[in-house]
Amino acid sequence: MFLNQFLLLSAILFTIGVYGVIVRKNGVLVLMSIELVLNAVNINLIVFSTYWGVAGQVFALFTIAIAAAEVGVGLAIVLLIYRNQRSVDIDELDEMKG
Amino acid sequence: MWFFTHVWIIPALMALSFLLILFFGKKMPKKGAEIGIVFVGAAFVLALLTGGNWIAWSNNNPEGHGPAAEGAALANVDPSCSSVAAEAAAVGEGVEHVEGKTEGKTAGKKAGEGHNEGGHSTEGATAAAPPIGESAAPAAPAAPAATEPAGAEKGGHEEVATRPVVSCINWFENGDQTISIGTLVDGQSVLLLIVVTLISLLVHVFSTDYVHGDRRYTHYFAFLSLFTASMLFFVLSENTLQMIVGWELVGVCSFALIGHWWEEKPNSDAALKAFLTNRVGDIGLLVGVIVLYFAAGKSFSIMDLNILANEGEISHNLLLIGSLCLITAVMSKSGQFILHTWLPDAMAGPTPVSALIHAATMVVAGVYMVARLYPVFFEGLSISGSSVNALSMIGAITALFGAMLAFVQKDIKKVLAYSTVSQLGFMVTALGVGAWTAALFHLFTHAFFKACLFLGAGSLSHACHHSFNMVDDMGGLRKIMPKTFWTYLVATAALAGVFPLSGFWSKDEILAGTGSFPGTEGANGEYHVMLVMLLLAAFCTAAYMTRTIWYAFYGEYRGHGTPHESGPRITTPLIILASLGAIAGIVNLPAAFDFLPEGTQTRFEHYVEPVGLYFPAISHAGFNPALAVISVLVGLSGIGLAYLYFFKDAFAGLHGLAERNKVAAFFKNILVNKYYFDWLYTTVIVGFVKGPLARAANWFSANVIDGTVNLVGKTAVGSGSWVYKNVDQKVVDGAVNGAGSSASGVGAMLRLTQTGRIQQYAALFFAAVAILAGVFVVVIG
Amino acid sequence: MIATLLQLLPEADFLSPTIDWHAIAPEMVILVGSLVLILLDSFKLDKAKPFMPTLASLVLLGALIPVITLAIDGSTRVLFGGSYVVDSMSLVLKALFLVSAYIVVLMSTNYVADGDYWESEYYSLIVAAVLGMLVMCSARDLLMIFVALELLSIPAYMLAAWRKGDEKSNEAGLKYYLMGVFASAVLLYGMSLMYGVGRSTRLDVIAENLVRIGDGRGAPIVTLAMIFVIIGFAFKVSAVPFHTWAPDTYEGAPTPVTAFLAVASKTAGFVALIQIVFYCFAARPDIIQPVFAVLAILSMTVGNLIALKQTNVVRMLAYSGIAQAGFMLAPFAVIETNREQALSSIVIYLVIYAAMNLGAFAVIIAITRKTRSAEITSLGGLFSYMPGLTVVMTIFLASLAGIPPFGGWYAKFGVWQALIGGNTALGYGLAIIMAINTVVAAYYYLNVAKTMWFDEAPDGDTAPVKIPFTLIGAMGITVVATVMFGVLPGLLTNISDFSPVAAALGR
Repeated sequence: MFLNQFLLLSAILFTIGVYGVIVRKNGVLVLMSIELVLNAVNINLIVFSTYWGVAGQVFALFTIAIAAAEVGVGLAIVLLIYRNQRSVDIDELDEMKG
Repeated sequence: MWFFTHVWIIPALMALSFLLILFFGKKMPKKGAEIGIVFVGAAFVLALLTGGNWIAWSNNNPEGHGPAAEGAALANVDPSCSSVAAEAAAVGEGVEHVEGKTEGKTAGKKAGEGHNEGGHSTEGATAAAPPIGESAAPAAPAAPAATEPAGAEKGGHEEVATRPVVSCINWFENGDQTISIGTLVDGQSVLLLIVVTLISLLVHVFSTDYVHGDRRYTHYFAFLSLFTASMLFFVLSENTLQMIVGWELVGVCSFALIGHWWEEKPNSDAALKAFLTNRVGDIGLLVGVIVLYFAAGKSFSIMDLNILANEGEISHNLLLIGSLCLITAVMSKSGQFILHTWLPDAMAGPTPVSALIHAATMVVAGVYMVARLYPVFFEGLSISGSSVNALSMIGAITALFGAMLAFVQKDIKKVLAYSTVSQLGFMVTALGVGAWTAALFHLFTHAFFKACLFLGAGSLSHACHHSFNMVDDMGGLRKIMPKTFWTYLVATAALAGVFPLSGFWSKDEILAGTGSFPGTEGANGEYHVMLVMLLLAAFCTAAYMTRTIWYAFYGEYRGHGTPHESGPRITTPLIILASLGAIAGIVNLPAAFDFLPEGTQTRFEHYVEPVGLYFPAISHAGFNPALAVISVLVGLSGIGLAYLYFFKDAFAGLHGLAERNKVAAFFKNILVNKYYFDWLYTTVIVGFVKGPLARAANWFSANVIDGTVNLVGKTAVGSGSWVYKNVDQKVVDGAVNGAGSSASGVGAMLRLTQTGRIQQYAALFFAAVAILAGVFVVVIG
Repeated sequence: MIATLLQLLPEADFLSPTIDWHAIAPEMVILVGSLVLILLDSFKLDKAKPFMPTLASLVLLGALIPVITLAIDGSTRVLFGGSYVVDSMSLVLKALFLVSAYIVVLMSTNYVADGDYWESEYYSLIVAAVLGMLVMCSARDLLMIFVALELLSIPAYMLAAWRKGDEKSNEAGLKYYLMGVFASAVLLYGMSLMYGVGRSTRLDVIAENLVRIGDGRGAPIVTLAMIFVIIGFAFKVSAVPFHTWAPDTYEGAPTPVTAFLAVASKTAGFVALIQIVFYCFAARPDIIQPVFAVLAILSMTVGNLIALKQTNVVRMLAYSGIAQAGFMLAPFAVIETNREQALSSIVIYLVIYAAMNLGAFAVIIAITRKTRSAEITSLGGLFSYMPGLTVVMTIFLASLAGIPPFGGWYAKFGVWQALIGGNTALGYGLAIIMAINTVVAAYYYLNVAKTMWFDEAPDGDTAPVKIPFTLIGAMGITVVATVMFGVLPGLLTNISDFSPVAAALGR
């Protein structure tokens, strides 16, 4: 098995995801970046499950399901903000600070 | 025995009084004051009965010396609170069986009752001793320590062992550790019970007139009760943890009472400052208690700790660390230099509260704590046979420093506040040099005359439209307020150490206790520096008190309106306190006075100072006539100089001299020049005394460097003003406040990291992840 | 798909596990309760509305009954092959969550009804989040912990943004959501690596493998995985530097929700840390002790320093909560030498923290009914028109500052004892830093007290406001608990005596 290659792939995906979270201004794109991180996780889980049994695959299934729920809530909140502010630029949200 | 095992009733009474006043006070005809007075009166009577019982109990102490007898003396310590004492008692059991339990009880009751009928004051508790002492003649000791050579060996005491009574109940269990709560009754705690309840009773009576018509009258009396209850709870503590709780409770109550008139901002600031300064010391207390907890084999019990420390079972270093931590706590609570700054500010509270704080509660808590855990300090600081240690040094500096500061105050209460700082320095020095009894004796006498002075100051301001400014608003009150004047004069003389008033005896004992005066026998060490500093402090004390008398009672009345003598509810406590302050000295006449009937000397030492396994074998300095004469002369010269200057204007002739002679000019500037003092008052004190926390903090952060230059420059201007203005108000206060302001400065900077932008948060988040992970992967692998 | 999965199982034919229904009865009650709440809302929208809070309270208190029966029974129950354990500690924590949530419901009743928010969803979401918390108390499996975490987080995201029209609330929700999801992602990445090196998702099996690996091959991945997982929960407990969301979210969210986040959600984070650290990561004290020491020191110091400069009382409580979290994180750093005391001191702190913090928020809700502002200055003169409320708030503040005889001092005392009892340099250092921080903290708590007692009412308006009955109930419960835990700490030490548990996991 090419364990290292898969781990490297997942690490790269993770990094890209983190980069997206930090620099993207559009709320929806930030959500998509988080999905990338979660996919990196899924790759890890599935690769390891080839060694240690089915638990990893089950975990991956759960992750996918929960990620879907999370994104559902996330999009709802982004929509809420769009309705109030006519924008999904998360940089404009700095009313509370200090 | 009943009184000793049920002594918890006394603080419980006061706590009950607090609740009753809180809930029903407003509906009572006297708005709750009567509840407080009745309860504190009952507490005082109970305390007196306990005192009478203690005397009878002590007189029935079984004869016998050596470790076995001392162990047997601990038979009344509940084994569930102190395992070490229980072991020691078990060892003693075989040899000695404790007799006279029942006898002691009945005799004690009789003594207490008899005393209660005739007596009216605390000194009665000890004055009632002689008849009982006769009935139990064999127990009466022959003048003990004075004739003994210095450094008597342990167990070599002629005194028979004290039998403390400790009772406790389970408070809570923590893992396998049981923590108890209970009472420790011995001479020391009984003494404080009486002093606290008496002063509190008089303050209650005084207050009914003084704060009459105040809009938070009920609230005021409720907190007086709670304050007394907390102090009593603290005094009776059986373990160090309980001490912490009592200590904090006292602090909380002082916060409420100092800030009583919170409509004026300085008052609430002062309350906050008092509380926060005390919190600093509380850390010391907490750390010290935890260190000692482990040192005593995971036990909070005071008995355990004292016995182990006394027997040398605990390493010297642990005791040293523990005692140094506790000294920090003493510095804050008992107003020792450099944490004393809250005490003068705390004058913002109502005057009777100041009397209570300064005479009986709060500030003596630190002194009491050292006395209670004395073996820890005695061994930890190697008090015996040494010539300097942290405790005595801090005490001596405070004594001198406080006395000097008192000299430049304009506000009569501030004079008294610095005077208290100074007198507490005397007590702490006494503890530091091994003169345990002298310290407690001074605490006892000081309570009377200082309470009298504070209440007297209250009476003055009551007459002068609530001003405390003796320079501008008083004067010539001698004729108008004769009762206040005479009581104030007596208390002043007692404070100045005039023979034969009480202050003379206790101060003389402390001076002798330093053991450095040639010809003094039996002291624990030779503390030369302390003796000199204390003598200087005594000189200043006499001088500044004379100055107060001058400003308040002589000359022309400078205030507004027509002053009048206060009513009987104010003057009666004054008269009682002044007479006690005058005569309280007789309870501990020196043992060297062998022309007196046997059994009348050193009564205080006999009944208050413990003997046995839980207390170090300290020796007692003998009375030294030469030293006594010198201390009186020092006091009188202080009074005399001030008298000549203020009353006779005797130094007027020096003005010419000063112009011709540089040395004279220098001294003139330092001590004498009236105009200089006026300048000092207007520019320095008004500028800085009233300066609340914020201003001093600002000053400190903006002008540290300037301040240093100023500091040096003004050294020449005069010692009193210099210390007051630069050290006290700027460096000490500034450092305390500076720490606060720099903390909030850092806080303000850190606040900028909270930008409100999500993505910066996310970046910070991930940066922290990366750094943590990176560092740990590299370091640990 | 399922067929292939089943074929992969060791036994070819799938056997449904035997389930101890008594052990999971509290969770079942909550699950059914939250479903009933949702369905009732769908069918009987307007008629059911006034009964929603009552119903939610009944569900929460109803779930307390099986917790009590289980506690009386006293035996430790292991379910699902060791992934789910009901023991004395988990029961104490479950009771804590249920009671905290009940108090939050009491606090919400009038707040939500007055604001004309969506009531039924509000309560069903709170109850759903409580389900996640209960599961967290018993979870001994990475997957179970993750599911519990998401179950309690997702409703919380929605609750934070509850005031739909209010931009502050929206912002609070989005900040909490984005940071929360990001933290979950980091946590998951750590968990996936942990699964890789630990060969299982079960905590006990992972612990064995961690011991086996030690410093050998794969050790850097172990370190990385541990740190990622710990950070995922450090976010939840708002430890510095993962705290940035907390003040903003607390300020913007509806105040009862803030109380829920500050107490229940934070406690859940600590419970997760306890499960993971005590049952698994304790195998590598060389890594976790320094990590927790760093987090604890940063949290208490930074939290306190920033709190000094706050002008809004809710934000002040947010930062104070960060500092308090630092105090609770400290005992983790002496886990190697003083395991039992560390565990019980954390749990005791959690219980007392819940009481005093919920109480403080209840008082703030009561006050803001009048002032309409949570600025500290708006509390001025409170004593002159609502003295009772002022006394109660002062008790909570004094307790938070750690002044005897209120609960807070005992919590701090326990942590101190644990730190010093550990007898390590790290423990002593933490104890000293904590002592200094306690003094700093006293300043800002007392400043609020001072404002209430001594200052003037800002606009001279001193008309008292009526406090609803439910709010008085919430304050009553919390104030009694705060005072009682301080005066009689024995109550707590008895129920939190986990020495058998700690000894069992001591190995």
